[in-house]
Amino acid sequence: MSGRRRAALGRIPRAGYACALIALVNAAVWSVVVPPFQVPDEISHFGYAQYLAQTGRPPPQRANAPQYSDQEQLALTRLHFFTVVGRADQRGIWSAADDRGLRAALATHPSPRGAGGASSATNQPPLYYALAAIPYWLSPSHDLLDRLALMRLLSALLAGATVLCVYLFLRELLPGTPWTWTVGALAAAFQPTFMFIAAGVHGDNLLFLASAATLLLLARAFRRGLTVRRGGALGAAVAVGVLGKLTFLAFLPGVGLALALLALAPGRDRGMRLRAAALASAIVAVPVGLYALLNVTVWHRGGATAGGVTGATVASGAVGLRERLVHIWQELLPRLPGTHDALPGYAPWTIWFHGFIGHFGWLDYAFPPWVYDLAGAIFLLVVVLAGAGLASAVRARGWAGLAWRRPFALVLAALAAGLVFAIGWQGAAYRHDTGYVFEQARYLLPFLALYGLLVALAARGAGRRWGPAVGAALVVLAMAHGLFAELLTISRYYG
Amino acid sequence: MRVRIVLAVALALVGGGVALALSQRAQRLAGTSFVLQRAFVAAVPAGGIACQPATWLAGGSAAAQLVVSPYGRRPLALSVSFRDRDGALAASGRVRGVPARGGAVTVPFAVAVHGDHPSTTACVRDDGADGLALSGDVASPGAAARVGGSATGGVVGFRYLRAGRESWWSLLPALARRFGLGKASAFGTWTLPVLALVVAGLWVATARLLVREARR
Repeated sequence: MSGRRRAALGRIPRAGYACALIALVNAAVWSVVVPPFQVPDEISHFGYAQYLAQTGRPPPQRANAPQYSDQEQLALTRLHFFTVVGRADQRGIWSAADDRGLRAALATHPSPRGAGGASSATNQPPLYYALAAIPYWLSPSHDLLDRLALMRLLSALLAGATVLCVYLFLRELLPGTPWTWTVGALAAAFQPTFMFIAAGVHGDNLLFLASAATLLLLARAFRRGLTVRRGGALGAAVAVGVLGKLTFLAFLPGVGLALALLALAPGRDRGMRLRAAALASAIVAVPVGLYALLNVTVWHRGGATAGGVTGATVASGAVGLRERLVHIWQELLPRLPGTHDALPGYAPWTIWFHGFIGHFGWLDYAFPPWVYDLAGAIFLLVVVLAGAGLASAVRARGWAGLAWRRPFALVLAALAAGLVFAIGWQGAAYRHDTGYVFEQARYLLPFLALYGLLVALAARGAGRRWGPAVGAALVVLAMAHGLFAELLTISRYYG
Repeated sequence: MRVRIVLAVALALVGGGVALALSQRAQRLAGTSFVLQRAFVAAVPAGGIACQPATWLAGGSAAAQLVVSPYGRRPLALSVSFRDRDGALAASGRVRGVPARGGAVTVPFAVAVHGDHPSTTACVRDDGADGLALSGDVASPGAAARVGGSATGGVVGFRYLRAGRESWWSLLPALARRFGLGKASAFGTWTLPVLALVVAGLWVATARLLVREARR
């Protein structure tokens, strides 16, 4: 590690590392609490990582080939996975005899090398799975469950890094109140929907890290100016995001807008800023282009993005533009007269808010209904406090004092619009084709840093005298939220 | 000081809430037969018997729970028995006067089950007057329950309940044992208590961090 980089890491407050460590340990605890493969789509993500680890290449998505290796398929069967998943009244292995049966079956050494059949994850780029292959191979045991446990720790590590990015993001946005950085980051570290995904082998974990890092680097660039170094770092974060999960493509218009605003803003060093923007673009374009080329020429994965973009955007030709736009509208806003019900209920409440508070497993268990009403009231209070905090900050600084924050807010809006549009576009087709709702609250977790910001602003909104105490209360509330979610999970699978 | 007071009060409230939640008493699950309750798969006439081979009977069960749909309005009466491959009776029980609303019916066993019985033949007799349908999962005739010697549409599913109404506190030993199963080989009965200590440590560390940072 270069001296400069070491110095930069040394400048991060110890509280930032403490928040990251707390998130890492919390996610590691969750990874043991949640039974194998009970994180949504973990069977597919593990299957992808195992194929890559065994063959050195991403799955070719062969038609009619099995999705999982014999080893994974056997483990799923012996774990009663297909009985337990989606059925809150069912339980997995509860007896020593059943457990011995599982071990004995895995001891027959079924092949860990799959056929690379298409699954819900195989059209994704391979970066997360390549990282997950490291603990897979480092595992001293070749037992699937041992390897899975170690791979889950990689996700916990990514969650810790994500929370560090949230902390640093808050440091950029609220430089005058260091205690709020800790409050916001800790709220994120205990958020149970985030932790549930961090408990499993799941590509979303790299998406969350890349998204938090991108928000952090954009905030730094807007606050301190775009330098070649910052441009390079931003490009690297975006490249990791795109090569981690295709969902990140939804952020590219927002990132492009940010680079344009940063590079073309009047002022000194415009040449350097343009070079920085060009470098950021190149750092994204080169590895992504290489990935696309490999998909077509070496891995033969059915197109430059392995069918990922096609699958997400034009899977259902029967869904018209109007239907998609209606769907996107109803993701955030009440149904307009003359439009159909694209989503059940009022999506911001039933899907996003309920899901964010907790809808766990393969969406098969949740808190009792009164919890969501209570959480709604608390959330409203938090929003009011945050609004008060924001208003007082604006008053104190004046409109001119918000200088870099205004274009940054515009970029955040563009990033959010991109994500909502991408989710809705795909969600409309999915709903049309399957009848099921595509949207899940975890799709919003790329904006985990904004959740941290909301809590930090709410604490600050209580004023200097009471702010830290309110912040502490909000963190304990977040911890209690996480703890009761863990207890709920234990009762779901073991009680 | 304010932060310390708020933390003390908030942590005490959370501790009280957790203690209250874990003190809730109910009849707890002993296991399932690993069969989904997707549809009514077996019609049993009044006085008839449905027998389901290869049924998992969980150790520690004091009652079996099955989902039924009655064909009439008169109260239900059911008998169940579970026999091992050698014909030995593993568990049996009966229930009378159950309102014919349908849904889950709990049949207490005469004696609680000791140890798991991986492959019993479970027989359900309708002792009532109207007949009923049993819930389970669609299956091939070879695996399906049989009524009067004929294969029905699927496998009948059971859930098993422990004796009495227990709090989560009293269930902790069973929870700890179950928690260590079906996971990486390093985990075992010790894992749940150790994780509880780790979580407690995490809470202490977080509280200390909040107190320290509040001074900044």
